[in-house]
Amino acid sequence: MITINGNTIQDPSNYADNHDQYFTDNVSLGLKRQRNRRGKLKNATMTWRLLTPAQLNDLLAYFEDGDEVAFINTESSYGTLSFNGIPDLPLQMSEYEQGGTFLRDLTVTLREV
Amino acid sequence: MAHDTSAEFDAAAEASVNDVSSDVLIGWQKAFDAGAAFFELDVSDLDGGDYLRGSGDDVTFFDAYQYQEENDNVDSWSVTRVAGQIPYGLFYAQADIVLDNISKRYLPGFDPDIGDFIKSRRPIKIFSGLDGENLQQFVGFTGDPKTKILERKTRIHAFDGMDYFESVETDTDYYSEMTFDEILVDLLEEQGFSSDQFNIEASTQGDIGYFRTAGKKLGDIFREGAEAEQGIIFIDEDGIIQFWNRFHFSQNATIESALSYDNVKDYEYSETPIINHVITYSQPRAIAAAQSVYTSDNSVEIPAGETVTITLNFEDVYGQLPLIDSHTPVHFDDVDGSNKSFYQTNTASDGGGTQSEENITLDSYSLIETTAFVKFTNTSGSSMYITEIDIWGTPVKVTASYEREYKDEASIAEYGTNPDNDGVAIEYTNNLIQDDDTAYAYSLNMVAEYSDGSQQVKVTPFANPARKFGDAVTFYNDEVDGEDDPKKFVVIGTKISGGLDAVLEQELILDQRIFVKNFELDVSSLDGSHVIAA
Repeated sequence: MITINGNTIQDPSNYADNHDQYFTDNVSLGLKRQRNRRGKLKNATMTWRLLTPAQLNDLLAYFEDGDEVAFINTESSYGTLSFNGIPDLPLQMSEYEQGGTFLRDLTVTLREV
Repeated sequence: MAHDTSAEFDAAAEASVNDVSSDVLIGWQKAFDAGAAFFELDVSDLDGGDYLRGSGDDVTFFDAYQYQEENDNVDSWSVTRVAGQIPYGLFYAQADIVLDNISKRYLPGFDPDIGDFIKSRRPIKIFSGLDGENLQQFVGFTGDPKTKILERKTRIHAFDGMDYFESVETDTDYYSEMTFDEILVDLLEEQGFSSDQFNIEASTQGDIGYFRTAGKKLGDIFREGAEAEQGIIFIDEDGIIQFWNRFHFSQNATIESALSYDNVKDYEYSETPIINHVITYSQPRAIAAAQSVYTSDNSVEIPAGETVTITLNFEDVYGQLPLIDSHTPVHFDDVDGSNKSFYQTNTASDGGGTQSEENITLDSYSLIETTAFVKFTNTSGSSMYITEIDIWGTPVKVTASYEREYKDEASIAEYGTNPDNDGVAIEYTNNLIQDDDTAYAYSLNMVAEYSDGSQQVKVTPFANPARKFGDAVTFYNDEVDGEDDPKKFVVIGTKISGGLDAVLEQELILDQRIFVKNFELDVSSLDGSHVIAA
């Protein structure tokens, strides 16, 4: 189950989570390597396919302005994954599907702040 | 000398993976809480009233402020501490910080706690470390914060505490018969620094006969004195004021870092200017016995009912003659043993009339080093004349004139005379040089160090925040050095920077130095007293 700001949202069609890693690998003239690691920040990418306009607008309400949100996924491979994050902007929304259905895909990547 | 570090820190510096960290602390309110204790990890609140102690043993004056931790908003920071290419005199460290301002915390007037204090001259400290052990890199004062609202960044440039000395003057008019290190200590104590806030090495020459300090900024006093000693004055990473004499680098035999192709990412060689002919001049002064220092050679008219100020310029064969005191002139008839300055009055300019003491009053007399101003008023109805003024005072006289030249004929034959100085001798004048030997040493040292060009190397090593300005290091260059022949250098410049993108970068400017004791591989300790032979 995924919640945004405490509200359960529709399960995404595709989901991935990972860490943004901040580090620099230094290589000496003698080909020795040293890694300076600064830290890591969580991220989660969710894709919903063929959302109706109402479903799409429910999700856009959380993400469209790029505001910070509280993300929790109780079923991550990390166990419960929880962080406050901001979405990459602009949001990735697909073209409308054929046939005048107004169905669209939405992909949101949240990055820990 | 490098920062004191734990075994864990040293292991992290050598490890293939380490975790870098930094702290940027700013005392926005410049709040001082005399009752607060020193900050203790896991005990004190970062925003509490406890002072953060410098990473060295000494408590610096910057510890007196209360700081806000700005780590969460720091995009990047850098600290640069570079002496001149020829490291004599005084130099500053500088820092640059870029703060994320998405929250508008640094917008003047926005934040309820610090909004009114987004101003210059805020105390700032920067720490950098490995595996959670942070070492102080900089203490100083911020410049004017620059905020761009669309960029959502605030940029701050900061100078270390040496900047403070450029703006303050001493209450002491002059020093006499004291060595420069004694003078430095006195000046610093006068400013409120305690002995654990500075480290002053011994002067390399004798007492300075006379050093006038009135009206001078401390920075200028420090600069003049340090240059006469061929020493340097700076504030180190821990905020300790340092004076290093001319022997510091050559006697600094403990190797702090061994640099080689294994831990250096890049380097760039450069040569200092060739200096092979130097002439040093000095005319030191000392306080002489009280004596007659001025006798007027013409009369001055004081028109009826008017006031005239006469300027007396004290001079001798060396030019302007400073006095530390003088007797206020009295009428000739009133001269006695305690007041030997006098003036004569007369109704005629040639002194052929009658004395008119009762018609002339001396309103004021003031002495400003080499000049005195004496104001007379003529209370009569006709012109009167001051026909003579004689001033008795305590002059500060030139005690000797030194002109010492040194040149390296072999260097001149190879490069020509001072090729970077238009082929002419470098002439250096500093009247704080007190003796012939020091004047000679000044010329000789400059030529000895730079007659063949001093090799300097800008090295980018694997970063280690424990390294400090002045460290002795070895650098073994795989391409040119023999297997057992790494060269010894001293660090005369450091730049260290960090942040999310830069992570941690370090640049060292190394100046090659002469060795004093042989280092033996597999025998001598890297931290021991041995150094590597040239």
